[in-house]
Amino acid sequence: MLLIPTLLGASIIIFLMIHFLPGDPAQILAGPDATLQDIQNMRIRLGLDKPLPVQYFLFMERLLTWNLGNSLVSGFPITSLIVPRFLNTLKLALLAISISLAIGIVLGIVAALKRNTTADRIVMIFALLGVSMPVFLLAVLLIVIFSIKLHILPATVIGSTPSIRHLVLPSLTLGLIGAAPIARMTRSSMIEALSQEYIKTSEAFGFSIRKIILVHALRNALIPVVTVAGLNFGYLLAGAVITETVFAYPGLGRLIVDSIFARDYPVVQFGLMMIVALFAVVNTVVDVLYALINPRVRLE
Amino acid sequence: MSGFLESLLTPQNKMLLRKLRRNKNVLLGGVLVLIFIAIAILSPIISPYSPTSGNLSEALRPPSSNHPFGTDYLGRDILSRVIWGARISLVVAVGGIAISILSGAIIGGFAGYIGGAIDDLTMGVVNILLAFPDILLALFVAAVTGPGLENVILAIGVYNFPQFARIARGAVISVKTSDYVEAARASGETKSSIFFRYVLPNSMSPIVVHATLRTAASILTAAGLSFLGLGVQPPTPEWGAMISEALYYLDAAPYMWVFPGIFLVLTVLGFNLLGDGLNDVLNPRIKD
Repeated sequence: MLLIPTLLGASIIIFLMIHFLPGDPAQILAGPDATLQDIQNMRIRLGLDKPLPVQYFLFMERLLTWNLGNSLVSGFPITSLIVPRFLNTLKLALLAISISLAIGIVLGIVAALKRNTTADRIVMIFALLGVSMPVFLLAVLLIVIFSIKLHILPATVIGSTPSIRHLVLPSLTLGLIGAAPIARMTRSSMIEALSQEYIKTSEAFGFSIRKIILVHALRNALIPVVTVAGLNFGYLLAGAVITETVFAYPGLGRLIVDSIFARDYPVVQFGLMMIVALFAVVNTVVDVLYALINPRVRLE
Repeated sequence: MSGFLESLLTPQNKMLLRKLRRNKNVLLGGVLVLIFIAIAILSPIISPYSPTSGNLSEALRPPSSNHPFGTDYLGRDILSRVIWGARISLVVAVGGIAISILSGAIIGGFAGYIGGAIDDLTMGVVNILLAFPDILLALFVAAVTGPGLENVILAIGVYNFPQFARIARGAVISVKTSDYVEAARASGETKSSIFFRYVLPNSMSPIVVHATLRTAASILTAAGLSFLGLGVQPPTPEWGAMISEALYYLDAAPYMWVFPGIFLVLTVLGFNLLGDGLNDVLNPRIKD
């Protein structure tokens, strides 16, 4: 993946967001009771009085110098709004992807080893449900079970710094949903790896099957899983938008949704840019990792 | 009747039909999808009450013989809302997918056919759109256009566009360079006859499989938008919006979220099963 051109392209689309708004954006953002002077002030504040290429140049300058300006609603500097939220989302995403990988790989291996048994079928049903389950419905289920019935975990975050206890349910929600495609991928690539000649040969030589699985088959089987996990990270960031809203978790996703409602478009723009950038960087890292574990990629 | 229909099929298609019938995923997924479509089409006839008006004095009643799924916080019949919700989901998914298939096939197919700089540019834009993970592209469109049924359809269309553009381009390129198209060209067939007789039918199966799987994802995404309040607006009965309204009554009135939740999951599951099954039958490359 080409990191820089993708980010540049995404920045153009996100920059144009305000211009996609139907009607005059300055008028929309100034509100229904605005006077002509208010609208003109808003136009200057957003920089909409300048030619389009100049506007884009200023947008990129703000982005690259990390001087994002102020929120239209609260007046706070956007940097100070976004950074703590971004770190919270990163925390949530890393925890969730760890849960996904742990559950997904274990279930995938079990299903592959016990192929066509009840255990395999249960794993595959779990995987199919995971793909078909809306994030918000799983969130609701977990809240009902762990917060309302069992009273062991908090459902919503109060304040701006979530504790570990507040992280459990949101990361479990995202982690369980993300485990489904990883389990499927691990299963099918593990089945393929186990059918390879060298595995059969080493079995014939009397290596214990346990060691073969752990050392040889798994290593090869995990190569495609890395790619799925990378893609999954994107779903996770997207799912975080909904999860954070359900759990009132102070992350970037919820900030974006709140800012859409408040028509605080600069915050929406820079928030989206951060998520797209994070996703693009993760994809690049996955590509590099993929080439490292699988030397054939470099030859192609 | 079915005998007459079957007599119209070529032996090849007959074999395909037999394979489809024997595939468990196609069968189960197909049944779920058909039930969903039937509910959506018949909703004005089968829904016992109005989906949008209720009686406040009958609010939050648990399931009973009068209201099999109970009533919500405004006293509306949940069964009727769930039934009408199927129609909204179907309209949004079919409308959105139709927009993305049409635009994707035209733009992606054209890029693949022309090649060169136009192809590079188009695929560049497609790759940039794919840099917006999942629902975020739909969220972006919804943020710009505002809530409402038509805007959700547009958002779902844009959200699926890059996927279909990519598939259409790949299909056109692989068919364009294949031997039988070369042979047809050499034997003097016109471009449009080559397109309709060879290129289109041979590009269909990946698009059909993908459209089914993307319908599942689109129903989830549209429900997600409405759950966030950025999609279809109240009082329109939409499954995601219904679950969002239930958030204040999770314990007091579980029937408010359980029933729309079950219908949503089963519908998405149906499309996923059908898509997986069709993929096994139509693209039998992967031997498991």
